[in-house]
Amino acid sequence: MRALESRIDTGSTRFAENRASYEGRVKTLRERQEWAISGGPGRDRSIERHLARGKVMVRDRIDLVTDDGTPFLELSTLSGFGQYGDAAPGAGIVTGIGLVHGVPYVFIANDATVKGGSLLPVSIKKHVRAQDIALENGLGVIYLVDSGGAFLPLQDDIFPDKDHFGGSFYRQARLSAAGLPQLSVVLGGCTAGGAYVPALSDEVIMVDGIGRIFLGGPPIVKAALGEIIEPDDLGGAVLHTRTSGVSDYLAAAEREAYGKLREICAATNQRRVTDRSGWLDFRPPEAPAYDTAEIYGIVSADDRIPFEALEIIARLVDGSRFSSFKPEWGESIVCGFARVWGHLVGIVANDGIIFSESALKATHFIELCEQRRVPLVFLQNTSGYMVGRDSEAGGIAKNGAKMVSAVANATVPKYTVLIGGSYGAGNYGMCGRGFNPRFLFAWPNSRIATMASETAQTVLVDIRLAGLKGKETTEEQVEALRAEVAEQYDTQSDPYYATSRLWDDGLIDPVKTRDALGLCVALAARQDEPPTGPGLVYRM
Amino acid sequence: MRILIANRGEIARRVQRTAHRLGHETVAVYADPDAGAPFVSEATLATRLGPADLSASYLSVDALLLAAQRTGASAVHPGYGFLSESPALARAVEAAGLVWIGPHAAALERMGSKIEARRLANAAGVATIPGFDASQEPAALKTAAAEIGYPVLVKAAAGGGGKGIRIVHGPAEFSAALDEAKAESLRSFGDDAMIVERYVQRPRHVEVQVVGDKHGNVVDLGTRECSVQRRYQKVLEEAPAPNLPKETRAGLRQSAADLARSIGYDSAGTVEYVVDAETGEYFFLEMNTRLQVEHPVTEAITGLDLVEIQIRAADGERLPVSQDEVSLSGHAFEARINAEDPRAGFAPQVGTITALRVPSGARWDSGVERGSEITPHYDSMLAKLVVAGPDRASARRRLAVALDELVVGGVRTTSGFHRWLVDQPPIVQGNVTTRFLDEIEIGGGGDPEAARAAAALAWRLARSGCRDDGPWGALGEMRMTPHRPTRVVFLEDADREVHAVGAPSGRATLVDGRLVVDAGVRRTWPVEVDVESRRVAINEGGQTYSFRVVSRSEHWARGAAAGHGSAASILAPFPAVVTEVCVESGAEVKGGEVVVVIEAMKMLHSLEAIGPGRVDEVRIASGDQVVSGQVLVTFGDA
Repeated sequence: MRALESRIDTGSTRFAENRASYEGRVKTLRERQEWAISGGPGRDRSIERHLARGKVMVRDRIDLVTDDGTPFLELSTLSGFGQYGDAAPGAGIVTGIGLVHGVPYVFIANDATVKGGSLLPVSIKKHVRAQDIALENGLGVIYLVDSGGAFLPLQDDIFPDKDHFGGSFYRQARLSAAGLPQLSVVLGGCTAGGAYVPALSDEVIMVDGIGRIFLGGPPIVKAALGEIIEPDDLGGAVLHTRTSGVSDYLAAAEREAYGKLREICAATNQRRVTDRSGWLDFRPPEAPAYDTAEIYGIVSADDRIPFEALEIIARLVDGSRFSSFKPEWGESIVCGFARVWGHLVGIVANDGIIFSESALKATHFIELCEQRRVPLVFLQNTSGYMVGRDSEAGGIAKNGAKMVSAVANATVPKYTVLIGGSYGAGNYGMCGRGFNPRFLFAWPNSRIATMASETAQTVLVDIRLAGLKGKETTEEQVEALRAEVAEQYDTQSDPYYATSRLWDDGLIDPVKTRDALGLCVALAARQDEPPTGPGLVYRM
Repeated sequence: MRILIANRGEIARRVQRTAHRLGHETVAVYADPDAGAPFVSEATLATRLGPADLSASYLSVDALLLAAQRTGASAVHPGYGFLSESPALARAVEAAGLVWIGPHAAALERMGSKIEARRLANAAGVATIPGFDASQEPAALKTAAAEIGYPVLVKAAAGGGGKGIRIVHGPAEFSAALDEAKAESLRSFGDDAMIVERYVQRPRHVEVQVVGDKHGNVVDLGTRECSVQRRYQKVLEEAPAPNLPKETRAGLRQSAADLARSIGYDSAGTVEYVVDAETGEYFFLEMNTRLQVEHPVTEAITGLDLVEIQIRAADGERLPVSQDEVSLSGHAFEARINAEDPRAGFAPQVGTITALRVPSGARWDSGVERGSEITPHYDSMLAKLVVAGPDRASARRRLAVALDELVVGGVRTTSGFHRWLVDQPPIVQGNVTTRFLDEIEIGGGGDPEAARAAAALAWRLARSGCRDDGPWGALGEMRMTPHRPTRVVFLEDADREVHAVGAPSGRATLVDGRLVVDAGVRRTWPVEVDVESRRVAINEGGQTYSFRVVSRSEHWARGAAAGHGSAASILAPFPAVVTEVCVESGAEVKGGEVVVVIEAMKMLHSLEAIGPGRVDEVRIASGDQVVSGQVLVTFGDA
């Protein structure tokens, strides 16, 4: 593979301006992540109380379980951001992937310093999403349970629907049946539905003094039976380990529990992350020839000024080497093969508006990757498919549909990163959330909506005006309407709005993109080869 | 020659080294505890002497002679200690027609007797400590004291261990002191005979190395200072002895050579003196008719191999140098690294050497290697660390550096104490007396907390992570958020105490066995990490701290084994008859202790406490029939 040659002048004023602007974005991202870790109203007090009880902070808990000196791929850190009165940092739950004895596991860990670990609608979504990741990537799940159960004021958005609370237990049972270990450490109350997380686990450890499991807590018992009982007598670790058998192991202290958990993990008979099954080509990894941090200076500070896909690819792939597919045709989509942290991938990246040729080229390339069993990485940065008379006459609708269809049916692992705009059907064809990429990450400069805010303003204002059927409208009224639309689109296409709602698996610093993708692809490489699709390559 | 070395450990290897270099074969003899020792495997031939008991092995002339016969040895080198100064062994060796690599038996015999040795010294014109034992009359003793000159020592003729000894500073105190000493001596030894002797207030132990051949040649190889002693055991030696008046040094050397020549001395030997640090006067103490432990410091400043000289002399060769050709250059120190715990009164230590790193640029004469077992059967010296330099100051600094580099894991040693020692002003200045270590509070040994912190970091650097080229291996501790992991390493120290040590990431590297930590100031620690056996040995302040890293799972298992929580009530698990009640109300029990024994289906079952507690109520008695789930014993708060 040929090494790409960058045409970026890192000494230019534009580069410096872009970089300064992006560093501001990254600073904001970090501040908001800090907020998710330890911020929010009254959080200091609840952290203090948590620590005073001898309990460990949720991320430290994960560090006590995972292998020393190994990565942890935390997902959707900013879930709940800007929702629930900004009082639910991270939605009170931490999910991610880490190694135990070299075996990757999904972690689902409640954060009891956020609303007592109560589950909000987004918390459930995050919990369920983590379980889906486990199933698709063949990973066991470690539940660090410290939750007050469903957040009852919002029970209608938590309890009844398909992917609500019930769906999480459905998934837990099915994951276990699929041979993926389901292990729980009970570090707090597990009341009512919460009791089923440990109860459905393959093995359970309870920590004396803090872990409790009951279908009905002391207040319910009092209400139903008039019985007054201490929480530990009703569902404490000793009772459940020595009498009921709901728990399998008793730990005297939280830190000891993680030692037992690691002992359990030593006998789960799972493939290590180093056990590559061989279907995916792997070579010793090589750093990109260009500094990944230069991405900051390449992404335009002004959203309307495009940036080149190849310049980004050169800073993500091994040795900046990229074998470009069909480079002289349909140039507004860049396709080609490269390696990310040693593993072969096919990259599909936007370089502007998608035309018929670009869509057909992408379709051809996706079929090629599918035939060769090469995972696909989509780098989204498009305002969508081309409109206009020429484009419609050229069959953009059917050509775009071919690309959407090819993406939907590809069975190789797919990964998507929103590196810029993700508008309209471009989101679909480029493997948006609806097309189930294994992981979807977004950059803090990304935008996601049916169309760009400026377009929406024109379109919606025109529709409204048409609705008024020639009635007199003042310039002020038109402006007010325009401003209303602009506000809606600006708010809703903001990447923080998106990540708060789990439309992605996390907003990430661009310099971590290569690493995050590398970690994700490596998970697929230890699995068996994915089932084969049609495997036909239609020339478009 | 095929040389049987009638010794063990460090000195056996020392002799082997030279013998092999000269093309001789060696025979190692060993007692059972030494069967796997390096000196046994490194010899040309090896043969067992007997069990650990010294009298049946290293101290048995018969066993040694049989071993020589069995292995066809043609010569015997006795090393030092054991039978090295035994005329019996020397004669037996010669009677068997073998070469004795040591002085002739008569020299051993004559110098072996204190009285005879003093007489020989006096005859050779070598001063001995002025003393009087010709009469027990108090008046005569007092007169003698005045003649010797105050202060004097009044000491029991049968004495030892500091009993029955008084220092007398003037005639006025004499009679009272004499009475006290006599009374004490009578109590302790059943005898009150007294000797009056010159009291040297600031005594130094200085000795002179001499070598001779069978042709009447004797040369001296300069002085050694051995004043740093603990309970009469030398701790730190150097050559030449520093800060001696010119005449004193010349006199010491001349008289030692004269004494050796007067008895036709024909091997390596040492003449020991007490030197009065105040006056420069010196008095003959004794002559050691063997190679000494501290001989390497003399080798370092003379460039001679004393074992080679011994072997050649025994073989009838002439000395390689005349007195005029002896040139002393530079300065050398020797630290005796003992398996002793200076913080526990220098108690001997046993165990396995789990790590060993010897500083480059230093001589390391040792009987042990990594994996060697330190048993309680023999003396505690592990090795001698010898360094030399162009002058005393640089040699001393090099010793400090060498001690900072040395790693001996698995057993506690005196290295940290030595590291402290080399910085003490009397050592720096070279004006130590034999009382030095009695008068100073022993220090050194580094900072245990710093050692733990550094060991935890070193372990993480050596061990942590996932060994793989791929991102899960290569990305280390990567996090997607600003959260930074704090890791805890459980370290079990030499006292089997487990410490949870926080080890932060970053700013530390482990390169070529050195931990480098950059926290504003860069510091390094020599460290040996054995990933396989989960051991870390780290040099902190000259002391090697040895740890075993306890895994998280093991830490859990230990907690579980110790028993959790308080004991719960003991319930009958099934219908049975109580056959024994092992506790009564108020008894304290430990987790796992049997509380009640019951019988069912012809089988006895012990019911144990699941944790520690105090028995509150015993609700049953022996012979009772109990039903399933019946409460038998309850517990209160422990």
